[in-house]
Amino acid sequence: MSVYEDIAAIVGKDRISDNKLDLICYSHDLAPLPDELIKGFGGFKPDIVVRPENISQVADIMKYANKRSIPVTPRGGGSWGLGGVLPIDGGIVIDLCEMNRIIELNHEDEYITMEAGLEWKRLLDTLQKYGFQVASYPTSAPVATIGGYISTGGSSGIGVSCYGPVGEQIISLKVVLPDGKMIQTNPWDSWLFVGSEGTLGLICEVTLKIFKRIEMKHMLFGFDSLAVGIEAIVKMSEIRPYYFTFMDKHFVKFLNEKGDHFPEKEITLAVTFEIKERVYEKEEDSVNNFFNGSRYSDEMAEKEWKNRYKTALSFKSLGPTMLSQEIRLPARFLGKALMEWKTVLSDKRIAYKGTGSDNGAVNVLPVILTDEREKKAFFTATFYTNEIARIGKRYHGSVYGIGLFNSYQMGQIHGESLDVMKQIKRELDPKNILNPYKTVENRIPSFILLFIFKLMKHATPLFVLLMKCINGLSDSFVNNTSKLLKSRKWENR
Amino acid sequence: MGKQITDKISKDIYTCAGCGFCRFGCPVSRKVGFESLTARGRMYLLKKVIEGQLNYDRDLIESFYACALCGNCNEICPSGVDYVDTVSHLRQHFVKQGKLPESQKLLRNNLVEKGNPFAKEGEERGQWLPPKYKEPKRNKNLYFVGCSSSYSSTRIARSLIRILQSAKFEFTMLGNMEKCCGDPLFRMGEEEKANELRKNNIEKFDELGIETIFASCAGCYKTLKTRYPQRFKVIHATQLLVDFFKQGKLEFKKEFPRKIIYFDGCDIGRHCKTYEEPRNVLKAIPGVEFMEFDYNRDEAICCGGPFASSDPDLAAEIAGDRIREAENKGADIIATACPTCMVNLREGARRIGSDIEIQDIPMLLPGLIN
Repeated sequence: MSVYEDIAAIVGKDRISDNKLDLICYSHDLAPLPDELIKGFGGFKPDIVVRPENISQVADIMKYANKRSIPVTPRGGGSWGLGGVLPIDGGIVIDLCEMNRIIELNHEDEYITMEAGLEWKRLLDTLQKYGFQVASYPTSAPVATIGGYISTGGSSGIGVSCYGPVGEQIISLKVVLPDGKMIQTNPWDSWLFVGSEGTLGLICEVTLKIFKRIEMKHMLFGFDSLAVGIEAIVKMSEIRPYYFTFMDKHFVKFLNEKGDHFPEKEITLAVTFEIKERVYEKEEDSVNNFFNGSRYSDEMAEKEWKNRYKTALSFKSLGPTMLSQEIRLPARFLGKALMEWKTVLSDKRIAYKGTGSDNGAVNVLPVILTDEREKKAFFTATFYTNEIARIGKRYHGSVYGIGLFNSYQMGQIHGESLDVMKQIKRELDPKNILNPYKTVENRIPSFILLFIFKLMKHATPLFVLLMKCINGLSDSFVNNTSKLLKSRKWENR
Repeated sequence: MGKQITDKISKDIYTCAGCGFCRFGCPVSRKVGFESLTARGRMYLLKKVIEGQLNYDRDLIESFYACALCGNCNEICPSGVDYVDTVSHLRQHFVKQGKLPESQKLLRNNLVEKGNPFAKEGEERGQWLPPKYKEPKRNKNLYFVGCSSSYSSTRIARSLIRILQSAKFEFTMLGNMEKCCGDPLFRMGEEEKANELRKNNIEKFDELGIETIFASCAGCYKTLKTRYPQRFKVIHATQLLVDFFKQGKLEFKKEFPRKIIYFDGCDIGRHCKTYEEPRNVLKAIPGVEFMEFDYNRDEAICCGGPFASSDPDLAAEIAGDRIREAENKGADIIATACPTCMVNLREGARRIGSDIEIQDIPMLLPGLIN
């Protein structure tokens, strides 16, 4: 029997596809990459996509894939932009979104167990019906899955500044390891899989702490002075309200171009407090005293809160391409980093948004508007994402997430601990079949990628020529190497 | 890249970030799941067509017909991309190229040859009408019945006529002269043939001096409102009823102690933004405990009705999910304001063995009023 038939026997014929259109759709994520670069990477098309229904099907697929050394790439909502879900070596993509049932909502002990493919918004909506809430969740809640957010680190989102990253809410995970073995973790060893970006195991079931819903108060502020605005953000990172998010003047300008009506001040800051007696009043007092005179109406604040899932992409049509590189850095360095970004990347088409993170950090999301149909501008913008990371690093920041596209930075981020991480990966996945060449490994050496990035900006024609050469070679060269790398012969189905 | 992709559509294709918010309330995505059948998937595939890496082959065209045009994705899209317009536009292009998929052809031919989706004869259309309404007469007000209520769900129309007679409201009907409003053809991209039907109806409206048209079918309501000349004032039957209750022309004489949940059809809801009137009619019934679906109004999830003829299994499966949601809420009756929703939800309930009642709003009322 062929691989297709074997997998179909596990999941059923309605849950497997090798339809050309599906394979194209599963070969990308949020990031628009120059075609030249994609081909340079060797393309990302899977051979089979499966949508298993339960954890035992996932385990069976992994056992089968492990035996035959077939690469497997897990996928949740696919709303990340770092290529974590791209099947770099082809093989099987496991789309976990079909696993979206709530298994147990325990009112008494306040926890919820669900399958990892459930979207956060659906979880939040369900909890709300019963008067509960979770501590933190992503701003991409309508699409991001429980497992996807945990896998990608879960420290950028709503509630993180107050309650910490999602890892702190985990009571238990059920994970399928690369060899198909199922394990259940306790709260502490769950951390191994938090932020592992699908390279160590497939998170299939999750138990999270929940608690009784707390009323919230939303506030919105505007600052004419960048310095005072930054000071306010730093203050927020110390007070650690439930959620805070800020936008620079360009961001507000772009929002207004799409029909919003914010005053275009240097910094606009939205803050959400949980109304817990004592604490809240003290916090509100200190905030009000500090922000004297720059507070907007409650309606505006509530509207901004209601739009919290949509804001980041709401003016994308102005591009219509939007590139970004999320940087996590200590709030106290935000001012300097922002100044340098604004000086070095003095492009009017860059705007800055950020959210409060844990441990006094903020996650800054510089967004670059460009048009992928205009190659030169698009290459420059792609190069900027690299510059954003480089400047961020000077101020103790790091890219938020590695996946595939930031893999050239993994050495800088992890330093010597990268070797330990590699050892863990090898131990759990000796055949390197689970999400290979991501997060802790790099197929193309970093210095080559950096060189390519620089070419893209400074010598565009040379870059295009080089990529053409690679593409020209790729039919023989890349295919041969990938065949060598695979040496797996499984594709003859 | 062909002319089929206009600047506006090209902009929408490149604006789509592929974030996937559109999957959240997509009836097809929630059932089938694979990415090529999501709004973001189709936009990405179109990008590949523009870039010359993909052709409009049969699979791709089929994917564009596996969309209910329910508009849920349009509402949730953070970037304001108009998927409904893109899909509609592409369908028109496919029709012009003679590439209408097989699954659509039966419906198309029935509409073109007989003026209704069920291949019934025009003389049967008004057979059931009370004598007073059999022949069209000059009047300002017209009840446009639509195909479903003329041929299969006549109880909706008969109930509404009874209610309107109780309210002493004068109106006329087209009877056998009425033809499909054109909605199914507009949906499949058959603009030309749809316009022929539309033309026939407009001529009749003008002959009778019609000013206001009311429809009990949400699909007709949407089509009359958005595709017909603005000189006709188009309202939904529930909007008329709400006014009659408000003005005291209709009064409830009986209690109706049941739990009723209202299902927002996409055509009356998202496409016409008529959310409150159907609810207000139901809420006015004494004794009714009114309920809402978790996702309602602009977030409401489609029942799958648009697939009833092209993919009945898919349509019924999607409907089955809505039935379960209503059952979990503890509702006794699902009330609709659209015969397509009613028929499809009933089929969904039948297949999962649910005994929940599904009634179009006019059907609930005759026994309760004078």
